[in-house]
Amino acid sequence: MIAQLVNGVLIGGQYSLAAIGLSFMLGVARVVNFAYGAFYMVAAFGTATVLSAFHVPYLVAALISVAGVALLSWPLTQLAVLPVIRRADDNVLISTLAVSIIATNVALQLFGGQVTYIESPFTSVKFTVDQATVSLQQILSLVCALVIATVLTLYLRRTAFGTRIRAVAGNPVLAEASGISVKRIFLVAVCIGTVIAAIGGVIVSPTGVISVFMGDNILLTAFTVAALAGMGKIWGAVAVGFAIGILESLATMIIAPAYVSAFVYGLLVVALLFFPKGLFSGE
Amino acid sequence: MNAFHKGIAACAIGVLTLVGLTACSRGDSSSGSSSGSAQGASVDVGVIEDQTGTAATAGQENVCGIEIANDALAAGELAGSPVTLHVEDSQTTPAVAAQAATKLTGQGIKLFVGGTGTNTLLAQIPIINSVDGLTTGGVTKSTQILSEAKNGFRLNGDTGQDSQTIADYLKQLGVKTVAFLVEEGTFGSGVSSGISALLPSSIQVVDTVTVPIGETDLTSAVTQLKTDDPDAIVWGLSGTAGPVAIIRELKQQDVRGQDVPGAGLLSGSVAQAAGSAADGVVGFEVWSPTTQNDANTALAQQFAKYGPKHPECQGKPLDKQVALSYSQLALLAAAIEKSGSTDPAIVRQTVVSNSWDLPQGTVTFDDSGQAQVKYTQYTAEDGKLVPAK
Repeated sequence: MIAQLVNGVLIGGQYSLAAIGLSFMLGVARVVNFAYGAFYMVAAFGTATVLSAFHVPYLVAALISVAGVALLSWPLTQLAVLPVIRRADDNVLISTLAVSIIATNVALQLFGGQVTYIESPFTSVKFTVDQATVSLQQILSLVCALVIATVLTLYLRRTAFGTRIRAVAGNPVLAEASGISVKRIFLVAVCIGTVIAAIGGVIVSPTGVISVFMGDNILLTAFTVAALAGMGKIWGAVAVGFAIGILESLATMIIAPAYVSAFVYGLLVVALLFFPKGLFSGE
Repeated sequence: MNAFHKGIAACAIGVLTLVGLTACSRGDSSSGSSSGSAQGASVDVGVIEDQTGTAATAGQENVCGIEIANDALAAGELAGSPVTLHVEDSQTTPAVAAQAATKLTGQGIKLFVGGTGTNTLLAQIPIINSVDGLTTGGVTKSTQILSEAKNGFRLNGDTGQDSQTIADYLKQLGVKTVAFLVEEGTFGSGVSSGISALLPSSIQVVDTVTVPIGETDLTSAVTQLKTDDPDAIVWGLSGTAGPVAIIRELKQQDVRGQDVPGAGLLSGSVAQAAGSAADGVVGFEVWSPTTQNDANTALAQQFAKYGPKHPECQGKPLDKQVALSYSQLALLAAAIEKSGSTDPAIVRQTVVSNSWDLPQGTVTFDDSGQAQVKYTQYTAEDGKLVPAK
């Protein structure tokens, strides 16, 4: 039981890291960004490509990859999100879905359908806790989730731009009337969310395998966590991420792993029946 | 629209055009027909493979093998009737596979090579049967394929042969306890139940963990197996992602038990993608790059010669998928030539009543059309498959 609990905490850290960016975008710009998982995947493949092409250390490759995604996110947000964001919700869905499909197909052309992995020195540094083997890379994912949530919270609460972001998140119409450029805030929010997705991609991916279709699973997990936490509830997303990770791991002790997801997501449906705006919406 | 937006829009149009052109060029090469030979009457052969969707990797490798055999036939490097291929993408979707079969049979095609997955091939069979056509069974393993096909034969090993091979290996290892990690569904349960049924009473099955099809996060499942502490862990995960994930996770968690892939699951692609984590893992397959015979040597040479011109082959190792698909077309072409007929029933009868020298060795068939195969034992080393020591 201790081993599965340890696994649950580590998996929860990965879920949290995956969900923070999406939750932030949902909270500020009310954008359900279907391209979120694609950026996660692009960052992972970017790291693998830089590693194999230039033989640089893992952290350097990860930084280059995240920077690349950050550069990419700015024009893509200008192109695919901002022009449609104020019209209707489904326009953004379709527009970001198109970005996701294009990104996946371009990646398929470039990398093929093969799976691969990212070689990180932190995966070979391992500790044993009960029957669980914990790698430094997994701990890094967990630490990253907590650090990003903390930095984001401080940024929103302690900086002038953060205050403007919160104003737009609270009431965009009123914020615009006060002279805040809502479009600019949306642009920054979506880009920050995308960069967090990229950080998730480069930090979590070395613990498993990567494929061009990996973004779909991440998007589902991130959206589930963000929705259950409540729109824009960053620490709520962290808490729900950990809760789902622990619940999934412990559930494998009593039911077959094949049915764990159905069991956990069933519980989530029940939770949303009682808390339709998310568990932390009243925070 | 300001200059900045115009610039972005122009870039986007450029990118979309590029993507569109790339997609179109790929579509032409995979769905069109390619010339079989300049001499002799060319026989139309249908090829329906999952070139896109979740089974795309395997499907593209199958097309690669078939295209290489076609090139070799056209160049006279393989004995057999020249053929003209009609390639369709079944998109890993049974309904699309059925549509493709309807289209090709509507064009008068009765001879079909390939098939990536059981579900997409089973969807084609009633349509192929309706024209008394023939299927080579692709790289599927289900016994249902041959029982449902009117004129079918298959080179791949079936689930019974696979199970016997792994059960024999476990006995040879002298293990006392075994645990299974398999995917949900027919394939996974076939691996665990098939092998379990053949194990002697001295080998105890301590656990069977089932995971979703395509799952790559196996941390908790492997931790559970580690708690059971078996002498061997036999896994039955299809595709490439699952096998790579389990090999890496077993290594990552320093699991004591021997890593035993189900027969045919440690492919060249898996070994390549798993990297050093696969070193020392032993696999069994009906074909191996390490098999020494003239046909296998010719295959390796033709793969090197013709592979680069086919997009489906690019970045792929010479794998079981490629080899078995190559063998299917080579065998079909040879049987057409030997029988002097393109009648599916006559061609099938010729196939099953003779023995054939193919890259996997000398192959004979039973009455059901199932190849009687000898499995090769090999191991992974530096991302490649080498003969087991």
